[in-house]
Amino acid sequence: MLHVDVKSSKPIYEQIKDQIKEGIIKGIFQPGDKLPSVRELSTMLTINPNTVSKAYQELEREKAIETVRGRGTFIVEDYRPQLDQERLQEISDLLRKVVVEAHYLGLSKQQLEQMVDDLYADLGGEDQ
Amino acid sequence: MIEISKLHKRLGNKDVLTDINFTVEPGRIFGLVGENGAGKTTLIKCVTGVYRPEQGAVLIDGKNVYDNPAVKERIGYVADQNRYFPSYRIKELLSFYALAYPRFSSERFWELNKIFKLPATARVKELSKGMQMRLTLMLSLSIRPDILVLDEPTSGLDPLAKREVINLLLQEVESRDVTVLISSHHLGDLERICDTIGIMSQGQMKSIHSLEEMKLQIRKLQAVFPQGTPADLASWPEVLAVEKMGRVHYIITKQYCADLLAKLNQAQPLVLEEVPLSLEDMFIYAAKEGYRQ
Repeated sequence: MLHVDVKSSKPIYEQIKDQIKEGIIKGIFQPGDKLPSVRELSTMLTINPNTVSKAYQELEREKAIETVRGRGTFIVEDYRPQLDQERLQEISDLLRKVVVEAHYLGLSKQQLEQMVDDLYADLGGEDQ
Repeated sequence: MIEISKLHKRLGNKDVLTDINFTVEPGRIFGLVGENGAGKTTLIKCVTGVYRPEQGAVLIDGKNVYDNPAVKERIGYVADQNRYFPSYRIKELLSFYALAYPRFSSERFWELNKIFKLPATARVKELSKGMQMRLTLMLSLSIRPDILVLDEPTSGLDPLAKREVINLLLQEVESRDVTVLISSHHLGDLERICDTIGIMSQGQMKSIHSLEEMKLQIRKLQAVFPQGTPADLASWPEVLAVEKMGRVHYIITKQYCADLLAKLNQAQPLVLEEVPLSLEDMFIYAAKEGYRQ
């Protein structure tokens, strides 16, 4: 489920980081799930092991995953996603595109809101 | 660790390398790119001790490489053209390597050969180009090198073999902290695996950047300015190049920053958005910039 887009201006370690966090929020990764080792993931995606290490280190600092020596790397029990300013700006930019696009298609604000509600329902509850 | 400082090299009456400086730390992968004739192979031959540097130093873990067998036996070198005795069988080549490299392990070779499956009794000349490349790589890994230098290791390999070769490299880096210097024209391969990229042109190292840094700084924006384009856009210090296609301007940045975006927004663009840029594009723009200087 992890993949790398080399053309994106987002560094590869950040792509991995974001995908894992997204996976946790969507429930693809459950608490206690074991992640592939640095070596396994580096081979799976054909990327530099240092890149994988960097992604894992940052995820650990953000308390999304934990490494147990000799056993591997796991998703933590109670991950609380944090909002950071830069990501907030990114989301706002993405939303702007969607809203403009929707406007040109002739969608009403209400219809768009309904779509957002449906998406939240798919994610499993608004509090996530 | 590879340390190169103030390296100059002349071949005949031509300065092939001028003032090359860079360092590769253990466990790191340094990618070397540059057009044909930029001096990549000459640089690699200086790093592996094939050429004697005219001036400057090529140090491996603090020791000179040239004429120093104790250092050379720790270097795995996959050259762009490998010249083995064509009538040797693979197993004869193994005994030859065991004589030349004290740390050579034929167990390691046969373990690696479980992936590549070369027949032990085949002669070198009977192997295809791709198979010869795999043979060289396996031999180079079987000496348990601390330093791996690879000159175009993926050229002539099919996509599957290429991936296997690169994965093998990555595993060596991960498990043994090998220092890797790799040159390639296949920029798509490099951008997935390198920590740092050095761009060479006309015997000089034009730029050395971490790939992350490059991705952040060098970006491609597309913009439409209905109120008129800023007149001196192409000469802004943050801008590497500007291309125009109809009403759309493509701006390649060399220093992407908030200031630049603010300046662009002052010109009230109708559209201002980022488009994807591959390492290959970055390389082409950076090389063009090099020619202009």
